[in-house]
Amino acid sequence: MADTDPGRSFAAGYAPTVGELLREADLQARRMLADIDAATAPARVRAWGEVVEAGAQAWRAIPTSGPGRGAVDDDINTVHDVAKGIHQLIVQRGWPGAGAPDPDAELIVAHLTRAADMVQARHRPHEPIRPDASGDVEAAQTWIMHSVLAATHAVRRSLEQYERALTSSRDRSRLPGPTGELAHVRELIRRIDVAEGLARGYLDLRWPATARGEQLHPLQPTMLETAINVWQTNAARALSSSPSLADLALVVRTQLDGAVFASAVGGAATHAGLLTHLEGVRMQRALTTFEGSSGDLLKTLTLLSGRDRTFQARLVEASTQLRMAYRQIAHDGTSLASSDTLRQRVDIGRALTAVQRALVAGVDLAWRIHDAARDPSLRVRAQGAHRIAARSHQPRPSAGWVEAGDLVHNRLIPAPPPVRYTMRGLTQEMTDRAIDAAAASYSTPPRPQRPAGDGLTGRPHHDRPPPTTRLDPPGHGPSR
Amino acid sequence: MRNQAIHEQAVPVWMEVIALLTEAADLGSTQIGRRPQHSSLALGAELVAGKAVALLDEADRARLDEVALPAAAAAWSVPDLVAEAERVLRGVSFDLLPPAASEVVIDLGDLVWEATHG
Repeated sequence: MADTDPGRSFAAGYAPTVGELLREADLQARRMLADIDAATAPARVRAWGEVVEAGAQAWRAIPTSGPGRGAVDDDINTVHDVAKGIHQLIVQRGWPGAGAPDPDAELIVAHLTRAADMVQARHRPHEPIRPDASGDVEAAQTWIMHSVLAATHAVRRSLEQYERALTSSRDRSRLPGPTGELAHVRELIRRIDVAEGLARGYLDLRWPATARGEQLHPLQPTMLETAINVWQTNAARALSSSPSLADLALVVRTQLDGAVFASAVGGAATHAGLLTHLEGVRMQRALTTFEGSSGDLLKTLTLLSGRDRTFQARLVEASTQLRMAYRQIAHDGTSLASSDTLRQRVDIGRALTAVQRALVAGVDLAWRIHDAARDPSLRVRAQGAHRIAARSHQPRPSAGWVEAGDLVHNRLIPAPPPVRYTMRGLTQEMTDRAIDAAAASYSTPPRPQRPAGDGLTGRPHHDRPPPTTRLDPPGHGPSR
Repeated sequence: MRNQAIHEQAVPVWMEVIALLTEAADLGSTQIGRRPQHSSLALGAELVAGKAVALLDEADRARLDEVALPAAAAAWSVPDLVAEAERVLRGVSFDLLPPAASEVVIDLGDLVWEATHG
């Protein structure tokens, strides 16, 4: 049994303030995020309702800054109602049954309960408060909601791991018994997800509901295909909407992650006999070369953007969704999944088709990056521009390529000619390598039987270099 | 009215978190040939860094490149850098952050879990 004495988080004899207790509850909820495991899911689900209830009690104990409490309490009450509904569901379905609650969650409950008791001992919830204390009240509510959100998110993530383990013959045996029914676990995930959405909504977060919903479904190639399509559409639009340097870098970085995924799928497809050994090797080599050219471009882009990296929202959402789709298929723990595991998870032929289309569409994205990098309105950080321009052999103006004032303050400036020249070369190189990678991902069509004695004397088909320009088959490539 | 800006006391730590995350992102792409398994984590670090940068004002964003990382960071891996970013962020009291910072805190928590468990 865990030690749930909240005093244990503080030095002996120290009496924490309400603020310190709320902070400790928040930190404890954050610690839960770093310890997601399928085995902890039952205990966490069991304790989650108490966390929300303790959060609601602490919230309601806090005096209001206005005359009516109803609207103030609505936010936490709605989350609490969802938690009560889930508790009823658990009782009806009998899972998880009685048992020890999660020790981390118990500590959060203890901190929040103690904070509520301290506030109630000094204030009545309906008493008006001083105008200068309204900021503290709001901060306390934000803190409580954040603790509830972090704990709720951790419980949902644990349940998702539990769901995955249930569907895996290897991992199912490691779950503590009795195990929950898959349909029940999925319903719990969906309902806890509602509570998480409400808490996020209060904290003014904008979360792609579609991306969250995607995680609830079992692994299917359709999820991969959807993520790839969403990425290509959004990346193409973003690259046509005055992208920043950071936007360009994010597209390149996401394409790089796609190359790693394509390599894994290509390997599995080769093992499955969908590609010949030679075709598999050709694809891997082309992807490695593409990674090299993309990496070179990325180095320059990050030098020019520095650490000031903000992205268009649609790029972030689509990249996040695609990254998760890749991870769920191609990662196994902290390593890449083996070919055998990949083939167990997805229809590898269908995944290969999705990858081939992604690589073809990647050529279009590469061209768009090439065009965007030549846009004269593109702005770069002065210090990065200075470093690249300093390597240039072009005749330098007397005042230098970058003005001293811009350099000192690292201002955003139009790209000087040597920088534009460097970017043009790198984006052209990446585009060429993207074309190679797309072409190399397709298997060579069977060679037609040559009629005996046709008299042709050209090179045998298999000695020719692989095709490098057969791209965008009608209906497959994105429209521009 | 809730405060939408990072309190000035928290800005240096927030900037250090961004520096660690961008370092992780860049290291991941540099090492993609040797450690392809870190590519996804590096992309995740870049996405979280973007959200964190968006909460800074323009003057602080221009100073981000001046943030020095500890010398030991040169030997850290992508997962090490992500874990360190989360550890540093834990030192910031949430009342010094705007509500939107919650997304960064939680995404970073998820990323640490990915770094340690997959």
